[in-house]
Amino acid sequence: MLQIKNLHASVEGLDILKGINLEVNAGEIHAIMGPNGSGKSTLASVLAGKEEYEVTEGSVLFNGEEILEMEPEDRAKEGIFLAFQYPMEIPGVSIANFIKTAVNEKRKHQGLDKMPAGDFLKSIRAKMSMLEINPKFIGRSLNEGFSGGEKKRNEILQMAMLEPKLSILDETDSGLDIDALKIVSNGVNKLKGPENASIVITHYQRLLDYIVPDFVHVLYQGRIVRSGTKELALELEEKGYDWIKEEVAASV
Amino acid sequence: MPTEINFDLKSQLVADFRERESSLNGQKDGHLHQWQSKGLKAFEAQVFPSTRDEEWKYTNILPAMAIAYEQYGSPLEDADIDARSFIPKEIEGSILVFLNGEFRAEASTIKDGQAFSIENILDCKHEDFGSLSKIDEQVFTALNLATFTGGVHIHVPANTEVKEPIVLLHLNDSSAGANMISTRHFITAGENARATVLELAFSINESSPTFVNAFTEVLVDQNANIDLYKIQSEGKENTTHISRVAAKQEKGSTFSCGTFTFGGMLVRNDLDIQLAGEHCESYLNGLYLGSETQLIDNHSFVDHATPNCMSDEFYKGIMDDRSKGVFNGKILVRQAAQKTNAFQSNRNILASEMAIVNTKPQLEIFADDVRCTHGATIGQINEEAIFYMQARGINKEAAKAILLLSFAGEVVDRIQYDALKPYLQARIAEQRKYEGELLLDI
Ligand SMILES: Nc1ncnc2c1ncn2[C@@H]1O[C@H](COP(=O)(O)OP(=O)(O)OP(=O)(O)O)[C@@H](O)[C@H]1O
Ligand SMILES: [Mg+2]
Repeated sequence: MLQIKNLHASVEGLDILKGINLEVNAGEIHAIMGPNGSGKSTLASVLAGKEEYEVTEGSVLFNGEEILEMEPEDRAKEGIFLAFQYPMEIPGVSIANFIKTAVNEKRKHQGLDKMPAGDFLKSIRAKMSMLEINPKFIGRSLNEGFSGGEKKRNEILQMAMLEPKLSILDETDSGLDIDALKIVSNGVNKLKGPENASIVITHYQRLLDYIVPDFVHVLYQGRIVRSGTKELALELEEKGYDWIKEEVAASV
Repeated sequence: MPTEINFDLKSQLVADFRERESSLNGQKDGHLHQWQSKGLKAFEAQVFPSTRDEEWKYTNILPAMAIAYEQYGSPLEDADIDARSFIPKEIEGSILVFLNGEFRAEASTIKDGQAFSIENILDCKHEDFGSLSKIDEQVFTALNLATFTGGVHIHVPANTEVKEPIVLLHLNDSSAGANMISTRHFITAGENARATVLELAFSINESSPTFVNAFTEVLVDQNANIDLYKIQSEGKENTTHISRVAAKQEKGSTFSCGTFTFGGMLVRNDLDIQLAGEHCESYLNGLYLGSETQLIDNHSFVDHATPNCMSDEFYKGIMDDRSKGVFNGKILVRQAAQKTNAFQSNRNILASEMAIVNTKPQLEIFADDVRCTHGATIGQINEEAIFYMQARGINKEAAKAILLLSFAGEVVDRIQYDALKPYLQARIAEQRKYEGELLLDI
């Protein structure tokens, strides 16, 4: 589904991604861990198409198609979804209207008619209840004044409504209390299927108890320096990153 | 379009006045002529302001005042004017049409059985007419008094509520030549009276320079509630629009004024609000959307002269292309005006790198027990928010429009007159060239 080859990216002349290689197949969940500032969010943003980041080398194929030249909105409509580490507040635009617009943009792209208003409301209400989001939130301005945890749930609500092929969750667990973590993980698991895949960026092994990854990668200084199965996450939890940093230092 | 530079408009206007006067003969003693001569005298004693004048620091009016304007009528017949086509479809009510400032009865629709009375401003002999026009300080107010050719006196009697809005539709036609249009309205609301007045301005022909000089005088008696809107949609090529609303509020009254500027080459709006009785409320809302090379200047003056009053001013601007916005909000809280609540906010978005806004709150507070807040911001479009929306499949242009619409929508939300809201939102969307659904209603 996703093939990242030798991806280099920089921002304001600063090299941040320095040759990422990663392959994600349908049905898989990949966890990406790594110290602060190692480039995890940058990778997520580059995949979603943020203009600010300049790709200096490499390629990213999504379902066999090069996406690096595509606009972010087109990538989204093709089925890439990024749950933001820091979701934006958009005053004056209600959750309902925002998600409705997004859903309908995607349907238009797929050659479908707009979703009838009744169906939309039914669907969003069901998903809000699954994520235990207060039904009153539907009319509230997008993320405005939401708590950290509410913002994250709202990201998963959008994901549930848009049914992406590839979802990238950037620290969706941070800011969630334990109950919310279960609810959100449960939501993510429900969306899992043989046709789609997820990249889960996290600092905590705890999340991976709920969303069980097929692979775990460690991103450090703009490179994936180690890959393994979910046991790697346990090892990191126990030992921290120093041993990996030392290995990297030794190999240079 | 031939435009004379360095033309002495003032001398010409004075000469024109004298010429008209000499043909008046017996009418010289008429009340109207007396007003006009009074206006002329005040006008003659002043000059058009330059940018050295603090009140006009960012708005250079002089080039627009160096044009040989005449006061032309319009060749259009009443039957040619489709007033309804200019009015938001949601709006019912009486429509008074002014073409180049001249009242056009046949094109107007005055509904039967209305609770208010109207008279042509040229016939108005009301004792308070002109009581709020500071002709010795304001050159354009003096000029308006000297030259007004049309307008209406609306009187809403005590204890009556006018349910449907009164629409004053101004159409400008400058096909005959450089045109000066002086209009003047006078609104008097008796005790406990309630009414909504909507002023709309459009250009139907802007082929020559057009100078609109409008003055609206509003007297709001005790416990009355007047809701006034100005929606300015004139051409951006050739129209200079100077407008002043002067209101005086008596005890317990409410005055709301919503100013929405979409058009005009150079627009200068002045609000002059006098809170003369206790427990008054003033709501001043404004939205200006500049594009091309428009200059839109909003000045306001709120005079808290008595205790326990509240004023709430909320202006927003979105300036695109090479347009320029000016906001100056002056609040005066006099020593007697204890327990004043005065709020002011002016927020702007520069939607292009070439656009400019100059904003200045001006608070002069002489009472000690008051609550005043003010804030002014000038920001850019939030690129992070745009990316967020793009990442949900909304294209960049639409995302930008949605952000701007929601920014502007906040002003629309605040107005009292609900039937006007969809129209204003549609106008904002149109201005932002947004064709998607309006996201702001649920
Ligand atoms: N727009 C930007 N301008 C300048 N530097 C940036 C920008 N975006 C990212 N960086 C830098 O790139 C590096 C990687 O940042 P990134 O946000 O990708 O890290 P991360 O792995 O997600 O970290 P965290 O675990 O703290 O979320 C950091 O040093 C960061 O300061
Ligand atoms: Mg990050």
